Amino acid sequence: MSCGRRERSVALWISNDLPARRAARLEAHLASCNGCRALAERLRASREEFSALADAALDGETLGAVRREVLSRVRDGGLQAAVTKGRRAVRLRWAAATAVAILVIAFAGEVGFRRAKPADGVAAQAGRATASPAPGTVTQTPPTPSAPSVMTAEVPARVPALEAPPAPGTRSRHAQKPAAALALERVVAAEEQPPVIKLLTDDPDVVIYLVADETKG
Amino acid sequence: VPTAPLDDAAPATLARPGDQESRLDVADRTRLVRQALRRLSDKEREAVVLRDIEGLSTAQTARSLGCLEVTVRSHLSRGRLKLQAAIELAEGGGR
Repeated sequence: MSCGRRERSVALWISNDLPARRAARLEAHLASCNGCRALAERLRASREEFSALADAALDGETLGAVRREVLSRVRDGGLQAAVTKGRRAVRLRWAAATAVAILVIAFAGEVGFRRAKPADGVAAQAGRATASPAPGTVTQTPPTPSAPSVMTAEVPARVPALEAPPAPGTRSRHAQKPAAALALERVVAAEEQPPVIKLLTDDPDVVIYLVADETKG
Repeated sequence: VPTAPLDDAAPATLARPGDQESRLDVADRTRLVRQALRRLSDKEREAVVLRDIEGLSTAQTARSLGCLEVTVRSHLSRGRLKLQAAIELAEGGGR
């Protein structure tokens, strides 16, 4: 009798289908097991007989059925492979199109960011120069070579006398503009227009503007 | 006309007394193997036929059946053992 747990290994070993390590272990076992050695000899003899019989009569019914089955599977497999290949090509095209779209969006975003960046830099500078004071306070700007030293709390974009104060509960026109554009307008207005003193009171609806007219001394 | 003694003639050209018996034996063995093959499952039969009778390698058999080589080995080992058992049973308890 052969060892039951090794029979399947023996069945593979006779045709060198066993991995090297398992084959070495089995050969060591075969050296000491008569039953497994006898099984190996019988299986090997049967295998040789099968190949001899292949040319005799087996190629009629049995081989024909197996061949038909295998060939049909190969044909189906080929068709399936073709379908899979086509699907893979479509997926690759979609992936490529998505990658291109992402690159275009990223490039457009980068260009937009670079264009917006200088304005932000000006806004930061302007923001430092025109910090809003608390209501009811007056701050003094440092003297500059081009402008006389005046008391000012804020330099408005336009002459404030021409601009009606915002109604309570509504937002002013300035509030609807981006902060960077507002700051830029303020810087330009500071260079072109005479210094203006804006007095903020406790009442948000009451703002007093004083325009300094240098021509009258 | 050249002549040759019978003893020098090629063995294949001579009628052998065991030929008829040998042909019958082959037919019987073929029938026996065919019946034993029917006892295997489809997968086992395909693996055994392609590997042992058609002479394909394990890799070729796996490609033909559309499965992994390890699967072919599994079907092959089971199929060979079943086939051997069926043949030995039909022969009356081993050769």
